[in-house]
Amino acid sequence: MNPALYSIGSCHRLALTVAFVSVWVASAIAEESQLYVFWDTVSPDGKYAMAWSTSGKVAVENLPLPDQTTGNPVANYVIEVASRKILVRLPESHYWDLDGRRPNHFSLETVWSENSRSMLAIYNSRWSTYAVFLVDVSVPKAIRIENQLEASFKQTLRSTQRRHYAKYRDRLEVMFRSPWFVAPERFYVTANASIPKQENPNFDFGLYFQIQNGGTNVRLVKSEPSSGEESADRLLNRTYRKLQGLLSAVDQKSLAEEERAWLIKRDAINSESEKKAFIVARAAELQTRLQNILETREGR
Amino acid sequence: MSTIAIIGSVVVSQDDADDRVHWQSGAAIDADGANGQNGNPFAYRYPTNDGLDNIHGSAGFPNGDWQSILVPDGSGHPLTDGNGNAYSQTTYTWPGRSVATRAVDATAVPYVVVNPHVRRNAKGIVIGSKAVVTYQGNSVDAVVADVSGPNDIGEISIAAAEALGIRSSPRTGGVDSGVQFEFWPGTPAVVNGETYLLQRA
Repeated sequence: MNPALYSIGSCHRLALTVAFVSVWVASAIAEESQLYVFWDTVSPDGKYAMAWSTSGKVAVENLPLPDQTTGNPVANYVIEVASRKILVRLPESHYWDLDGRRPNHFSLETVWSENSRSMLAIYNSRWSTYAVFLVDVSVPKAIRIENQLEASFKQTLRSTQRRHYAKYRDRLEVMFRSPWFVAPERFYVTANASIPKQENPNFDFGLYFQIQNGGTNVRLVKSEPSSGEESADRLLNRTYRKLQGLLSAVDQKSLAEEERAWLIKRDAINSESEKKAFIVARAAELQTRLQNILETREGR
Repeated sequence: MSTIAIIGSVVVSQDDADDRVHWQSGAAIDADGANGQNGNPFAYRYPTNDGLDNIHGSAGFPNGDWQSILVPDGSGHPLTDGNGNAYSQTTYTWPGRSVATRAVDATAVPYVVVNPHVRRNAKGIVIGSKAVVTYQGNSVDAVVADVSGPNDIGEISIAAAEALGIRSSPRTGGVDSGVQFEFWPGTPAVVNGETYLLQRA
């Protein structure tokens, strides 16, 4: 059952403010003219999120995979959560999530800046990244930046890995993940280049990009070798920020107070391994709360 | 117990006592290695792409490094059986067997697909090791037989999904959460009466 269905009129009427219509459906069918919110993409201030719709009534079993570019009825947007107003459509983007079902081997990963103005959306298939959008909701606009990211990453590999990179460059699949805004106009992303199913070669870098020219392009400002994995601190911060966006103002304040008290306890721990375990446990606790809220919103 | 990887929001741990690696996550579905060994359909069909899985998104054909997923025929195309069934590969490979039988059949063998960071960070040999997957109180014995993309955590074969009551379509199947993964690096798996070899990278 999925209660998160909202009337939007036609998906082509992008600036339309729409009324909330709560509809329960008997089976997982994507209804025409309904807007489905990706609840795990809500901004920290709770105002914006990504959503999707179809141009026709489609059973979940028949929803096409996101890599079908011709005639794909699924469209992705950034919306205002309260009004369901569509701010911007992400061109050629076809990810969906219905009744707990998603396209196998595809993922959509998003992160918002702390001020809830900018968002990165990374679309990955099984082995590589096929689209990255930088969204500015204040304009609003969305630009594709995957080619800029990939060119910068390959330049980094050329200059740091030289012959090792040259030997494999034609076979490497490139994937970006774990995006994070380190400042309002600067973001971090983990970049991986590897050959599917093989342990070597494997190139993992952390890349820092500056947003330039009013958000029309990005420039690599720093690169560093990376483990390719999320740190415990980042996992906690990411979970906290997602949870924050789904809470009421009162609950947000309560969470902030709770977090301050937790930080005092964390800082009193001297052992690094114990501190990491303490952070991981806190992240797990917040993830459980986040998951419970998401399941409620998604009606699962 | 120590944390050996954090993939997305999933924390992967390894126990000190028996080297057990474990995590809880959703589960994606892998069809690779289904080459008709047991009379079941092939994972991929070429050029029609009407096999169990999507030859573009899942095998990366033709723009990605598809030669690591499909068996190339030497002239720039996937090798088929002559009837449009394309041979695919798993990281685990049975030595000395033919192209049709050397991969692990996703439709017949419950197997686990391991994230490359988890494989790298785990103590002990991972590929070929004993695994157990549990979902809603049901468990299935499995083998760690394949390696996923760097972004994925929690992936099982079609046979494992069917044994656990998880939607098993490699195109739209899988489950978001609630799957417990365990494996024991260095301990050979025994599945369907076959003892697997431990295979280093």
